[in-house]
Amino acid sequence: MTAPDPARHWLLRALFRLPNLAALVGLILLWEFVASVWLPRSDPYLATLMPPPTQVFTTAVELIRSGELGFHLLASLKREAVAFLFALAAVPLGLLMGWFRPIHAQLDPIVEVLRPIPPLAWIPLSILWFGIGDAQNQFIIFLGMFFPILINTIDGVAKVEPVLVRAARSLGAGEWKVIKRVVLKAALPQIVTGVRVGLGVGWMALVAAELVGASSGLGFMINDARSVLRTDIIVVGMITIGFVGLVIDMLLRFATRKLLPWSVSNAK
Amino acid sequence: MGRLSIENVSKIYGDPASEGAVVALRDVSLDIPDHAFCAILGHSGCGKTTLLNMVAGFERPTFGEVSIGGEPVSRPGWRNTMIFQEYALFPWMNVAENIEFGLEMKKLPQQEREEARRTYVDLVGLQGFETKYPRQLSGGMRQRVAIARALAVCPEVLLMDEPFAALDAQTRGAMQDELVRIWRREPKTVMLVTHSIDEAIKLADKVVVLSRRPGRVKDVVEIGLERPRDEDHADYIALRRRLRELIYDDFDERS
Repeated sequence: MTAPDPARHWLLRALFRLPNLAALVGLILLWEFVASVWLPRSDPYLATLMPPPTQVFTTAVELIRSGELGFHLLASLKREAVAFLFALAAVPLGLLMGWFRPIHAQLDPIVEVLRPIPPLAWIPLSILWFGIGDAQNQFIIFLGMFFPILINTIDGVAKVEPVLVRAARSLGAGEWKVIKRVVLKAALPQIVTGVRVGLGVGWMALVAAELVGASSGLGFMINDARSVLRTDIIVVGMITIGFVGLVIDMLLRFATRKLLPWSVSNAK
Repeated sequence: MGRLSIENVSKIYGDPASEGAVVALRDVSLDIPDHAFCAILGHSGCGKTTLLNMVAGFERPTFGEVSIGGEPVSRPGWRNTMIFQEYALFPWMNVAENIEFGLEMKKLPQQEREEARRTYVDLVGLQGFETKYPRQLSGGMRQRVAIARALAVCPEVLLMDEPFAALDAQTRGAMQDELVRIWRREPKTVMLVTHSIDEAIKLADKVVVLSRRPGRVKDVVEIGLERPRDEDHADYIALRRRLRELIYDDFDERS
């Protein structure tokens, strides 16, 4: 089996020479053409539903200048952060469940019943419980984050190499030291994976929660723009949500490489 | 202080009264004097690792007793520390931190920890590698770290479970020589499990041959040769033949 010879066909050759972002640039150009040239001529109503990228860009600049985008972004980030602090309780709980069999036996059925319920399904009940506002939003985000962190922590503990635990005991470590110095450390790369997944799921849950139960935040902003048919604001909001989600994930990956240089996935 | 005595030890997995019970070791008695180097030799599955695990405190004998310096072994700890075939270094700690781990568990003050670490880094020849992580080291170097880490806690008995089995033949030979050199500088009571006749003769004062399951002490062979030992010496060759016969004789009985 050999890879196809890139020099064989002129089309393939051209493909290999293309700069990395060529497809993306092409797509944006196509979008601009459809939204500002083709659609207004064929159907002006549809044209208002599809803002061209140039308009999205000017709207973005406006929203940043007026501070509106920053305000909503900050509100969303604050909710994500508060919910994350609460969701970190999943780490000690996961350590206990992973390490002590009886605790696992008792709690695992509860986790297995609650885990498959999508965080969004909690929205109606949580609005009744907490009303509209931060607490309700944070609760939904918390649910989105909690289970990925918990499951990954339990799994990470289960995968700790038994010989490391034996070595620690053989060097005189007691139970608490074994958990703190060996089990937690060995499970940490997997816990961080859980945190990454959790922050991602939480970010998605956040936007959904804000769509229905908030008066600030990116989710609120795009839903509010819908009621006044400002599709450009909606698109700016959507791009911001995606971009910030990406940045959070990249920051976490960067932190993992810095803080856990030993973890196998980062070895190379 | 480091005299290891194993008295009438049997290990049975499962209920001893039931038919499905597996007898791993039967009535093993051994006495290893302080500072002696003892090798346990036997086929795989003869219960030699089980014996080692009981001395290390990972398992309890079903009958009999293991004691070190007159005190019964009840749990793992620095008195009877173990070196593993797979090194078992903590991957998130560098060489220095790995070596200091046991000293920290002993609650030694930092200055003493650092002094001890320097001593043992020097002893095993790891100067300049203190800040390296285990994955950056070769197999032989990793086992040096494991040896330093175990010696640093000043065990009364040092246990080794096929410590060089994962190394290539050349490194293994070099590490065996190293172990002899280190042991002569720092004589400890050592119990080493191996299935290699040459390793046993090269390293030990005393070779205990275990029979196939259920493991029993088949013979104890004293190795009276001067160290370092010459593989081509007539006495060495005779010892090798004798141990081989002890092991294969057993093999024929069973097959």
